[in-house]
Amino acid sequence: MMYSRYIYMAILLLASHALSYAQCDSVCSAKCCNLKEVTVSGSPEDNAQFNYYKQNKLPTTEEILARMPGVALIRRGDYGMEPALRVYSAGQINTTISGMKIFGACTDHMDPVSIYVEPNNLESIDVAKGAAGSKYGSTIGGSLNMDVKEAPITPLRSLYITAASSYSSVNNGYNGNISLMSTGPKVSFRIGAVYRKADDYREGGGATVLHSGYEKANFSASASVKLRSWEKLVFDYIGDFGWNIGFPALYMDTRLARANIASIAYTTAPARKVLKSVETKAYFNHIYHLMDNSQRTDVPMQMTMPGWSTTGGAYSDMKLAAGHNNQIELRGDYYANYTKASMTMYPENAPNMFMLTLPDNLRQFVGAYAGDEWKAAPNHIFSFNVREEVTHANLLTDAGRAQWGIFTDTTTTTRFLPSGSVRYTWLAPGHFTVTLTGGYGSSAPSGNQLYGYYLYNTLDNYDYIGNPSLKTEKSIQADASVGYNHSIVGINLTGFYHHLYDYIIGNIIPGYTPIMYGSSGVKQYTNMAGAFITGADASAGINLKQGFQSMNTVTYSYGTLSDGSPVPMLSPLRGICSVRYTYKGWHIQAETDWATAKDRINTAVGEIISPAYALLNLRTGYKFILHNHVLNLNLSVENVLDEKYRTYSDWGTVLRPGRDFIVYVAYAFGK
Amino acid sequence: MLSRCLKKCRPAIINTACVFLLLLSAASCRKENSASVQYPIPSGLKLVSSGYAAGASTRVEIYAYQDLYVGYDRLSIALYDSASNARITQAQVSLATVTGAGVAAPTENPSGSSAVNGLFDGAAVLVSTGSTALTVQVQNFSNSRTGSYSAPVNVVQTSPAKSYSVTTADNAKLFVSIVQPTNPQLGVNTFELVVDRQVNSTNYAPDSTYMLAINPTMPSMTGMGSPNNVNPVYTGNGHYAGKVDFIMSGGWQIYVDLLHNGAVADSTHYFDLNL
Repeated sequence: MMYSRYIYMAILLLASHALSYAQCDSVCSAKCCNLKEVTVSGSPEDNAQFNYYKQNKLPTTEEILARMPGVALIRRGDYGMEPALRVYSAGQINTTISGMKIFGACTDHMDPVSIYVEPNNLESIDVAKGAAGSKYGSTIGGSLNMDVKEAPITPLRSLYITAASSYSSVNNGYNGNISLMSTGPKVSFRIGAVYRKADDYREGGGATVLHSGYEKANFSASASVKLRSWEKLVFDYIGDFGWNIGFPALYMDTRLARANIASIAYTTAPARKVLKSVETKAYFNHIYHLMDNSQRTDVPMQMTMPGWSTTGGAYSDMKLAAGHNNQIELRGDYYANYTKASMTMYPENAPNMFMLTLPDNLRQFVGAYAGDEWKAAPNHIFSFNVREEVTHANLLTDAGRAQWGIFTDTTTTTRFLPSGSVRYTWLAPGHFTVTLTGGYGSSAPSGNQLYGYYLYNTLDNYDYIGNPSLKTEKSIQADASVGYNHSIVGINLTGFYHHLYDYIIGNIIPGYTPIMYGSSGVKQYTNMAGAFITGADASAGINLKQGFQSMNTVTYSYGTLSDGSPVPMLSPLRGICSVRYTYKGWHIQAETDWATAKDRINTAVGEIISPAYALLNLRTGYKFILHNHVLNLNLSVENVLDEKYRTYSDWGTVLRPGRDFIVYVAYAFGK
Repeated sequence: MLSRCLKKCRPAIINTACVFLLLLSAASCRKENSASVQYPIPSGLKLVSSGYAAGASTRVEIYAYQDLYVGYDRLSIALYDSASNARITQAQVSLATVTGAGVAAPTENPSGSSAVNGLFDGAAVLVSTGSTALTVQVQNFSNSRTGSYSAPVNVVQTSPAKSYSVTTADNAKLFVSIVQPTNPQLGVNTFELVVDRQVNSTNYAPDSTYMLAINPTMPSMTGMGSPNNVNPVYTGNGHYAGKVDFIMSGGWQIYVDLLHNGAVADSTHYFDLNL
C-alpha cells in the first residue's frame, strides 16, 4: 500500500510542471516553463518533435507553439503573437481552449486566444492541419486546441505546490508563477497564478525597441467533483489581465485587456461496449480590450479603440467503439459570438470623433461532426471525418445598420460550411509509414471581414472595410507523408497541396479616402477566384543511448494567388537544428534557428523582404532532488551572436530580441 | 310643512347646485380647450410671434424649431378663431418676408388649405440678420374673410452658419441654404439645399439652373471624406436633394460645388455639420 502510494505520488509529481522538468532525462534549458505533458495530436512527426522541444520548458505558450511544425506566429510585438497554421490564420483556423470557442476583442488581433493559456496551465496542444481540424469547427486551415489542466480525481488525498521564477536580461523581464493542486477521491481542485512584466526589449545590435514592454497577470482555477465512479463535473475558470502592452509594429498599444473564461463540463465514461464516453460542456467568456496611442508621441491626435467580445456555447462529444477496429466520435456544438469595437479620436479645438469600427454584431454557429478511425487490417488504417455547420450573422443595432447603410442594406447572412477529410495510413514493412490524406474544407469570414469598418491595417497601410456578402473560403486539400521510425533514427517527409476557392483578400476601392493619417487608401474584403498552396515539412530525429539527442526540422511553402502574386504568409526555407547532451543531473543544449531570405513576397498585402538569419541558442541546467522537494536551476543564452533579425511572419521592420541571458529557478513540492 | 322640508333639504339643494355649476364650468372649460387638446403644439416648437390677422377674425401663432436664423427656416402656423379661440384647420395661408433693408426673400407657403395636426407648415428663407417683417396672410374658410398679421421678428446668425451668399464666377448672386439634415446621424443622410438667386436689389427667386456636387470632409482628418454620396439634384422650388454619408461622428464640412452650364461657378463654400 505504501509503495503504491509512492508510485502514485511519483506519477502525479511527474504531472506537476517542475518535477517533470526535474525528472526529464533530457536537456532542460533555462527557458523553463511548468509545462507537463504537452502533447500534439495530428501526426506522429508532430509528436516526436514536440516531445523533444517541450523539454526546453519554454516560458510562454507562444514559444511552445513557435517550435511546432507548421505553426507560425504573426508577430506585432513581444507579446500577443497570433498563431497561424501554415499560411492560415484568424477565421481560417479554429483556435480553442479546451474545446471552447473564444474570439479576441481587438480588431487589430492584439489579443489572440493563445495568450489566455499560460504554460503552467497548459495540459496539451492538439494541432490538426487543414480540413482534418474540422472537429472544432469548419475550417480550411486546421485547428489548434489548447487543453487546460484539470485537477484529477485520485484515490488518495495529495497536495502539490509548484513555483517558478525567471529573469530575462534582454527586456528586464520577470516571469513568476505559482500553482497549488489538491486531489482527492471526491473533490479535487487546482489554482494557479502567473505574473509577467517586461520592459522594452533590446534588439539584436543593441537598440531598444520602444513600446515593446508588457505586464500581465493570469489566474486559473479548476475543480473536479466526482458524482459516480464514471461521472464527474469539472468547473474551469481563467482570468487574464494585461496592462500597457506595447506593439511596436502597430500605431497603438494595449492599455487594458481583460478576459474571463468559464466553463462547466459533465463527463461520463460508462465503459460500455459501444458507448465509451460523453463530455458535455457549457461555456461562456467575455473579453474586453482597450487600445490607444497615449504612449506614442509622434501621433497627430490621441485615440482610443475599445473592443468587446462575448461568446457563449455548448457542445457534446461522444466517443463510441464499433467493434475493436472502429473508433467513432460524434459531436454537436453551438455557439454565439457577439463583438463590438469602436474608435474615438480627440482632435484639438474640434468635436470628438466617434465611429463603430465593428458595429454590434452576432455570429451564431451550429454544427455536427462525425469521425471514424477504422483499422481495416493490422497495417491499414482509415480515418474519416465530416462536418456540416451553419452560421448566421447579423448586425444588432440601428446605429450599426445605419452606418453600414452607406455600403449595403444587406447585412444579415446565412452560410453553410461543409468540411471533411479521409486519411489512409499504411504501416509498411521496414519501419516505414505512408500516409495519404484528402479533404475538403470551408471557413466562414471572420467578424472583421464581415463587418469591419475602416479598420487600419499597419501591414499594408490601408483601411479595411468588411463585406457582409463574402462567400465562404473553400479548399480541396491533399497531404502525403513518408516516415521512417526506428529507435535511433526517425525521419519524416510531408508534402501538401491545397487548392483554394473564393480566397478572401482586400482589394483597393478607388476614390475612397481613408481615416488613418498616412494610410494609402481603402480596401474592401473580396473573394478572389482562387489560389494554390503547396509545401513540405521534413524532420529528422536522432536518439543515442549515450545521452545525445538531436532534432532537425525544415519547412517550406509555396503558393500563388489567381492574379499571379504570391500567397501571403508563405514560409521560406527555415528550420531548427538542435543537439542535446545529458549527464546525470546536468544537461546542455545547442540549437540553431535559421531561415533563408524570403524575397518572393506579396507587396500588395504589405509583405517586405525578410533577410536570411541564423541564431545560436545555448542552454544548460542542473536539478536537485531531495525527498519530495525538487529544485531546478537553469541558465540559457538565446541569440548568442546578437543577430539582428526578423522572421517572415513579423509585421513591419521591427527586429526581434538580441542576446538574452535567462535565469530560471523552479521549485516543486508534493505529498 | 313644505317650508320645513325645504329648510331641511336646503343644504342638499345648495350642494347639488354647486356640484352642477362645477360640472358645467368644467364642461365649458373642456369645450374651450378641446382644440388645443386635439392639436397640441409639438414640444420642440418655440413660439416666435403671436398676433391677430385683422379682417379674418383670426389669431395667428408663428412657431419655429429654434430662434429664426439666417437661412432656411421651417415655420409652423397655428390659427385660432379670435372669438371662440377654436383652432382653425381650414384656411389658405401664405407667407412673406421683408428685411429691414427692404429685401424680399422667397418663402414656401403651406401646401393645401388643410392643417396637418392643426398646423400649417411652411418655410421662409431669411437672408440677413436683424429685424425682418414676417407676414402671414390668412384666408379663413370658416368665415370667408381674409386678413394678415405682420410680425416683427429678429433674425440671428447661427454658428455654424446654415447659409451663405456667393457671387459666382458667372456673376450670379446666390443665397444657398441648407435644409437637411437638421439632425445629422451616422450613416446615410438626406442632404438638401435651397438655392435662391438675387434677381434685383430687393428680390430673390428660386434658381433651378445649377448642378450641385458635394464633397464631405472632416477638417480634423486632413483629406478624409466619405464614400457613396449622392450629389443633390433639382427637385423644385429651388430645392436640390441628394445623400450625404457620415462614417463617423464629429465635425464635418460639406463642400458644395455649383456648376453652371458645365463650368464650376463656385467650389469654395461649405456647410459645417456636427454629429
